[in-house]
Amino acid sequence: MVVGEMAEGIDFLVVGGGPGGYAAALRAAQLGREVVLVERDGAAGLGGTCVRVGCIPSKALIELAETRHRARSFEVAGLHADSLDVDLARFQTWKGGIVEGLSHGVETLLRHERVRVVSGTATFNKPSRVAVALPDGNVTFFEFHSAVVATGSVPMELAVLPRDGVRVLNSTDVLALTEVPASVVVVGAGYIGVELGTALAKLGSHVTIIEALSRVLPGMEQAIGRVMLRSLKRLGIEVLLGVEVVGLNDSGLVIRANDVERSVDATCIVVAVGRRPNTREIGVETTGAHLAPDGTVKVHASLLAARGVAAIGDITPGPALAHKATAQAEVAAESLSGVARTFNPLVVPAVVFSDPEVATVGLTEDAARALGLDVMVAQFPLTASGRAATLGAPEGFARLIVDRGQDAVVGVHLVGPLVSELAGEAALAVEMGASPEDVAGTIHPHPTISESLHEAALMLVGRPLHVPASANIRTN
Amino acid sequence: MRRDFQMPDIGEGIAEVEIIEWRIGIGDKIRPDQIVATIQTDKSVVEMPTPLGGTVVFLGAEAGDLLAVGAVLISVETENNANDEAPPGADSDSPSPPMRTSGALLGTRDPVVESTLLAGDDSSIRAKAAPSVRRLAAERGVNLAAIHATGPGGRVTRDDVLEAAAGPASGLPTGTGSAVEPARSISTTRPVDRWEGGEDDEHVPVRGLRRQIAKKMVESWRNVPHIIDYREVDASRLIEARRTLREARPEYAAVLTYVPLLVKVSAIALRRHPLMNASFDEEAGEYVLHRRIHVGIATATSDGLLVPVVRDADRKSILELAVELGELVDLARSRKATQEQLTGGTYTVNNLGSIGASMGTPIIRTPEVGITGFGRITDRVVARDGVPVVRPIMMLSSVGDHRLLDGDTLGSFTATLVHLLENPYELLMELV
Repeated sequence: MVVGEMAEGIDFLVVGGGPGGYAAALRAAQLGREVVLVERDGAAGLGGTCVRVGCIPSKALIELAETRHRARSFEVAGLHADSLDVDLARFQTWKGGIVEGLSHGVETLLRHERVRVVSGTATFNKPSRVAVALPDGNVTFFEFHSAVVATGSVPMELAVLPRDGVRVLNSTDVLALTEVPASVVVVGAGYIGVELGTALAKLGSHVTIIEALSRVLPGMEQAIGRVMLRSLKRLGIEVLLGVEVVGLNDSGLVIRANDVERSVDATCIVVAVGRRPNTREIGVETTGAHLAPDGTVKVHASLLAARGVAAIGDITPGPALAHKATAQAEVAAESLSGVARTFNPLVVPAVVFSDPEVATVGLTEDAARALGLDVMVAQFPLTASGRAATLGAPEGFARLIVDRGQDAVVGVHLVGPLVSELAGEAALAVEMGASPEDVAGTIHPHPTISESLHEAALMLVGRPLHVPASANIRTN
Repeated sequence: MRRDFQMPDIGEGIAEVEIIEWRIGIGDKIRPDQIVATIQTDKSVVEMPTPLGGTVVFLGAEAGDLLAVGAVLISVETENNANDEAPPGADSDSPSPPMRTSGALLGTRDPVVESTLLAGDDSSIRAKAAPSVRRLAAERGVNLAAIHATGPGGRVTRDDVLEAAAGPASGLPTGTGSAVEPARSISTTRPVDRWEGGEDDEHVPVRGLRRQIAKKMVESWRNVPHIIDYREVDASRLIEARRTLREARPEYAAVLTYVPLLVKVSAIALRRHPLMNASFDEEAGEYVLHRRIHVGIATATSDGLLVPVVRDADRKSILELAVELGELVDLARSRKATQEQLTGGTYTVNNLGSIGASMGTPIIRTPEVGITGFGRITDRVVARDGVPVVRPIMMLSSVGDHRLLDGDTLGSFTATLVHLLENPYELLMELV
């Protein structure tokens, strides 16, 4: 505690310049609030993890890897690509241009709304006061009326595998690689591990993915995990499940499976075991907010965590996804400005840019049954999709989970090419309480992957078209 | 540790409440769920409990003052410090415990602590409603799970939410209210017409029921174009009918006034003229014809006008009406009528005669579209068959909302009223 600290009175404080923070700042400014946004990395940090070291750069890397892979896989269709050498240094320049462009776009938007961006590290030290450590070593104080805390998350580390940025990498490090490593062990088969492992394999690395649990993409529909496991193996990726990490040795990683230790050789090890909310050092408890054991901030449905203080994004319960943070940002800015709002989506869709892609929206079959719903499930295989055939990627399915009690779609799970683009339609169907008849009665364009949703709905209403009658339909 | 309890949004769409009486004082030790104050909302009086326990150190208003929803009602000093398991915002945004109004449970508020992602178990979240409708419900403090859904496949529609928000029991609180920052401009800064009187004048704040009446009457007078049909009724047979009924059942003489007869006659006329038994909704661009006939009866009380409502008045006998009206009016006068008994009317009867008036111009109680004032019966000289005779005459003024009713539609309803009052034996045909 600094004695006699002088605080500048401000109206609306936002801590963090990621997809949650900048969106909250913009909405608050639209509501007539005077906004100060504090970002650890100043203007250079705008866009946050998503733009700088997350969604965007990883998709750039995945696109590069996918283009190379597809060029090769179309040999069978008559495409002869002689050289498909990868220059990751050149890639970094290209990626850097994309990232800077988007980050600069955020800065421009904030400037237009007259949001003041302050570079520094914020720590709450009183219920309505924050100390900001400036880059020059000085500390300044703001006394705020309202505050949105949007400090995001960082990759979680493993105690036995401390990151060194050379041999042991996190996701941020992988996205900054300038050479393709000869061999990689990815620790963790969640969506980040699967995406990075797939991309590195397509770029030429020999990849091993290890996972402590017994399946890949845990938490998603089991059928998705099964398809993904097959696909990873087809790409030459070795997948070891139910495996524990013991530590490093000179040639790579020591693991233990069924009480037997063995070594897996690898140039580098990528730790992708999840993300940890950035709530440890920001002193948010001094505002009256409470932290859950997992480090997230407890929030009310209005997203307020304490009087005049809202928390959004990765530091709140639920998935650590950019679009969740952005949706919460609007609610938080309005809740703090006298509008009665709650964050109450039925679904936060999730997409995985693996091969094939995954889109998962709403309840899984197991979760729907656990809730006691009258469940009906239909699954349409992409082997019956013309568009999937022309994409050379007939692997996957569209699965609809329906609650017959409400006659509404409560879950949509898609595996296949381009299905990330269908997550929005699926989410709309669930949010609007669409019945299978609603989806079946909506004309879907041919030839697209979206037809698979339509076909699954047709199965549910008893009018299957491109699959045998009552194939792949299950009820209680 | 000092903790605040903010005035929660109790779901009647109100922005502020009046503290009628404090049930505790500064320095008192209170326990959780103890009633701390009696407050007045729209037309009901509510006992307000708090979830906090400890020693009271601050009261947010004087008795008789208004307090904005979201403002601190009381502060207490607690002995034990922060509890890790306390719900978020337990310091200042406490969810309120169940609240009682006139003895009936009004609502329980659950703090939605956990994320509601991926279809949580909050019943409101699970209601079948589009995101836009859910947003509207949150804004209006309507619990989606508690309202009647009229959309296809059981969907809650925008209109369902608006209706619930406008109605008396606007669903249960959603739990959003208490944690939303109060709007910064909640206290009105609008210039108010003010009487500049002399020093001897007494200045009385307009509060409680008086305030509600003022607001509603201004709203009606401003928005509703009133048309009035004045008519004369020969009350000879009406007087005879009442006398007959009283003599038949002398034990009910006290309640067998003209009022049950006026209510019965109005209810029968409303049944024959459905356009009069309607609500007008300008915003939605529609009017609603009510199948059921609930007649309100304007009742003077020491605090101001209240209008208890007799439900399904057309299906009750005159004796049933008499007994029920007697009870309702007593409850209203002693301010013990429930919100339910004071709302839901589709038409209003105003017995001007009870205050001695021969004629008056009642104001429509929106969203109803009609009201009738019945004047005092007095002997008057009228022409009958070309000669002047003395007859007991009652004047009535039948008032209609010109947005929905025209002179002819209002007039034919009024003619039915007059005919039934002059021929009360026809009511025999309406027995059910």
